[in-house]
Amino acid sequence: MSAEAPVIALLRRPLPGGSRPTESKTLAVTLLRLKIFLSYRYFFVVELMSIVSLAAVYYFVGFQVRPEALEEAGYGRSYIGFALVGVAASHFLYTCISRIGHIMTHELMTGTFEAVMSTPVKHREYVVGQALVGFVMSGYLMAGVLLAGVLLLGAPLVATPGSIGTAIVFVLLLMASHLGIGIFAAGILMVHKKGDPITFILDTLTQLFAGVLFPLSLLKGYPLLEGFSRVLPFTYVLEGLRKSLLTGATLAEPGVARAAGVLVLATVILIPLGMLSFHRGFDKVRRLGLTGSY
Amino acid sequence: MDYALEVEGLSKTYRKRKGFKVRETPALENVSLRVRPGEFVGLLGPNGAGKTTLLKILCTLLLPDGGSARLNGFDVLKQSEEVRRSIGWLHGETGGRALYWRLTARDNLRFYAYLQDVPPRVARERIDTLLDFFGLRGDADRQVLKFSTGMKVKLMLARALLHNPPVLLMDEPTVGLDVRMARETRDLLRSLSAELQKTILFTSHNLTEVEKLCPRVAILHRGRLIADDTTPNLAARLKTREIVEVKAMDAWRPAEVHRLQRLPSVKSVEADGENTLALEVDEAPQAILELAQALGTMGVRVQHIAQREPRLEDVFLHLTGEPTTATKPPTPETAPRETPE
Repeated sequence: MSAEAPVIALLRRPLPGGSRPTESKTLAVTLLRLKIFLSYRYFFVVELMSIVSLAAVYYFVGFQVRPEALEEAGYGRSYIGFALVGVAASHFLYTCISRIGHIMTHELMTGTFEAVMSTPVKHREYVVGQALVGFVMSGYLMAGVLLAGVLLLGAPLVATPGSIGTAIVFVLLLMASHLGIGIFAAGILMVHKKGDPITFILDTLTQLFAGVLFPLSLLKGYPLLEGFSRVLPFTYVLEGLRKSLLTGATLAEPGVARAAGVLVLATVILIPLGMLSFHRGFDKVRRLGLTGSY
Repeated sequence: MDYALEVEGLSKTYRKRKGFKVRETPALENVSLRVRPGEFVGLLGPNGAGKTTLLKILCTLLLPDGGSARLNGFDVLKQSEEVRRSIGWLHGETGGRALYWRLTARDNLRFYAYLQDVPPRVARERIDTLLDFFGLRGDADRQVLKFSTGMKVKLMLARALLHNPPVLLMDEPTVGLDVRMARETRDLLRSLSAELQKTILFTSHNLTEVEKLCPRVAILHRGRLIADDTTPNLAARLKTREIVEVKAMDAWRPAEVHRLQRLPSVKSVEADGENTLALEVDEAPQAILELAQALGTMGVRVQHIAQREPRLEDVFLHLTGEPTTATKPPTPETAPRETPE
């Protein structure tokens, strides 16, 4: 019998028809990336340590902040708690979006992007799968930073079923409302290969205007800046997270519910825009012959 | 469906902006090609001829500027998902980079089987059989980053066959494979075409391989399809040309090759295997006499000198005027180092 006979015999059998649902292929892309991520054993520990050290810096900065200013804004009296939630959430966002860009660049450089795109996978299955893994991989970091803040720095977070449930809802809304931005960044990176302007701009804007380190009430004297901060979805993420984790508020509170509503609206607008950018980016690289950069 | 592959007037120009200027590089110009189901076609051309561009358009990874292409009855522009379901693509030039190196061979295949909608039970059986065939069963659960280039190419071949596509686009599939594996891969492709009616478009720089494998050959040169015929018919085009083969005892020196090129009866000189040159001449008997005299003067120790039938390699050289990477004659940079006499 020739060496190829078993292969020929196997391929003679017809393949059952039908294609898999979109969610399952998206999940397959996410699981593949998770497996790759978990193959880097020490990355998790190093990343966690770097963020905890950053939060520790704000522990000392906190001595300079008047607790009354925070209390007036409705966030309790602890600056370390305030800063911890801000730092944890902004790093969560930054790592998510930058990971999407990193994965995209890597796939283009190695040729796996071309290999995947020559299968019947849909754009949304591929890109949402890649983006989701960024959020999942960064989720543990956020939980780790909050836990380390409570245990090591004594941040007074409120841990009732209602507050934790509301915080989880806001983490999910953070993911949903920023998924579109991540996909948008992937579309831009696909064309330009290096340099990720979206992640840079997003990181700078959130640090400056979303109230990561100071309450937005401090911007009251600057209507333009305050107005700008109200356009950023991340502002509402922080509002919901802080209200729930620092004061125990739930979605039943009008201010928290309003923030959640804004994030749902941002999700509905940004995901289609992100997908449009990805489609356009893909068509552009197909025109330019740049689907692979190897 | 009359044709598994139907390309009509396909054109593609790469445009790169540099400041205010746009540099245009034509890659394909009005290429038309029809391939029937089950046909095995060799696609040849020097580097930059447009082979990979054509295959990438057929894979839906590249948009043409003009013309149309249908694969397995589906339009590559309008029905790209169906086209991608119908193809098994291998890009050997990547040297196995287009795999997830931090995952195992099995995980790689499982992932692609999933994307290709192969049910898990069928996928398991196919993965095992293909890994067996390519001699990777023992390495199935090792990370791909520990694989040699040849092993990675084998894994990419297995990936291209997993979903049993009707059309195989094989861009240099035997690059990096050892002699035995390259032969077995050729046998497999031949059987896939003969027994399962797979349509195969095959590119290679190894013309002997293409000659043995592909009953039909299409030659691209500077983006144009300059020949498309059976191998014997292509060789018949060179009836007016005569080839003399000279095998020396030692490696040829660039100066010797250069001198042969300047002989009146010699039109071109190509390397043709170990210590062997193929010379295109006007009249072989007269050229052989002239060559024998010149070689004697140069002190070249000749093992064998004779006229031979034109081969695909000769046709290729005649049509394109460019040697393939495998048939470039020695130059001062590429010639083996020898101690001066």
